[in-house]
Amino acid sequence: MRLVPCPTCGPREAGEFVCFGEPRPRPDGTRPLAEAIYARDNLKGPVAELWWHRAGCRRWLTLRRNSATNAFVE
Amino acid sequence: MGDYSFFGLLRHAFAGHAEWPRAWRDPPLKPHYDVVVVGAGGHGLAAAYYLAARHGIRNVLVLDKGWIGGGNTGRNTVTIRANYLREPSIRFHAEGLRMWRELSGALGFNVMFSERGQLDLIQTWAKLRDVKRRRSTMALAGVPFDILTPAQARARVPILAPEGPTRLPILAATWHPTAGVARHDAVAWGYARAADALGVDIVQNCEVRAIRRAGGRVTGVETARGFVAAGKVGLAVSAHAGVLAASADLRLPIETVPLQAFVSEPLKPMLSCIVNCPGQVYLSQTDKGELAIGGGSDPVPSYVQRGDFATIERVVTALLEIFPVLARVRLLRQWTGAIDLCHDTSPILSKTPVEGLYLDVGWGSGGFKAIPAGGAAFARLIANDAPDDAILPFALSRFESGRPLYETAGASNRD
Repeated sequence: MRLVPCPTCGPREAGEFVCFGEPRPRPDGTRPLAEAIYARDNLKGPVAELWWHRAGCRRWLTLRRNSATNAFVE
Repeated sequence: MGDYSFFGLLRHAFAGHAEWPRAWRDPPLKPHYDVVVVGAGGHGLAAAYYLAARHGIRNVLVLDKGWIGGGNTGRNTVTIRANYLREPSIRFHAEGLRMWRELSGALGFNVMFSERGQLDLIQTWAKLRDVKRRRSTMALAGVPFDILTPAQARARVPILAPEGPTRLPILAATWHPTAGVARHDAVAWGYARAADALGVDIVQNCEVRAIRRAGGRVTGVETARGFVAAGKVGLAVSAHAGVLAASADLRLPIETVPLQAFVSEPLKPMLSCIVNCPGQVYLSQTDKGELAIGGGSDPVPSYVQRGDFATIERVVTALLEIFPVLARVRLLRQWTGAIDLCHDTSPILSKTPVEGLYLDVGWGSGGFKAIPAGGAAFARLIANDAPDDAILPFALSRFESGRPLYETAGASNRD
């Protein structure tokens, strides 16, 4: 079981959450459209990700996690 | 290189097996190579072999940060098939099936290819529509692929759950007779040995840290043992494609996610073909009698080669629903590979905006089956510096031109 630190509910089981991966801002013309839509940084190491606590407080969260160890970082 | 013919084996048997030479050398790094292939998995080794064997380019180096075939080549569930949706994918993998049949002879190494067929159990109306469409595209490409009734499926797989009330009844099944399995390590070793015999240098435990460029052209790679100059560089690194591409200022439409597999204790022969329940679980029985079981990828992107318990629970639940007879079978081992899942779940076999840099990545959950065809196509791409018609649909530029190649046939496709 993997625990996800929710700021309102505390550490909760990962199955309660949906991970949407790295945030993808709306295309704003600063880079080619295909890159803005499809390309990912896919970083190995600390990443900021969008999570949704679907089965809990239903808040949208930006959490920092290390994709090389799976550990959440403050 | 040792000869694995009958007389070769006999000679070494009489010599007490004390005189076997190394299957491949452990050469020192040369300062310059015509081609450097990063990643000594199946794809990298096959590409190096075909560069030497078919294109006469023998000053080739294959680098790996670990050992030969220690990544996803050694972590998959060895399913080899061509039952895809899109015509370029089907034609590509049908060519792969032809190569698999002749691979042991071509390499002089038994890769234990066993053409045993694949049965897909269809349990949702959406999937039934998808496989009806796939039957048509498969017929266009001339690859055998039939839709069976549930009774015909039970005749092929007697251990299926008996008919009765169940959450997801079997609506139909598909039969892909030319699918098969092979021994994963043997594929990597066979290609390594054959490539080495043609003069290809294979260097293990030497991580590539960055790609070096000058004026929009590749000049070489920065490795753990220093700089190696190269005329051309090919990346066949699956999970770490994005990390290396970033060192050449490229962003790829790839996400790295964990994919798990399990092996049961050895059992008497009970399953003669590969069985797949799309999106839930798939399995085949190995020569040792173990059931090799896989499911979909984990829901959270990660480079960690360690899976989520929730995925194990999901896969095993589906397995027991379909095969209640396995309820008391114990799982012996579980492992995880980090796969490079491309946005449209089709691979990227492509030139890049950086001259002399080529990609063979994004295979996601389906890279093993594509080792011979992918390696040969990657070698053609590197040697000719241009894609041919077979791999043009897999170009990186397909996302810019609005022609993504959406697939429905991957283990990580959910519907």
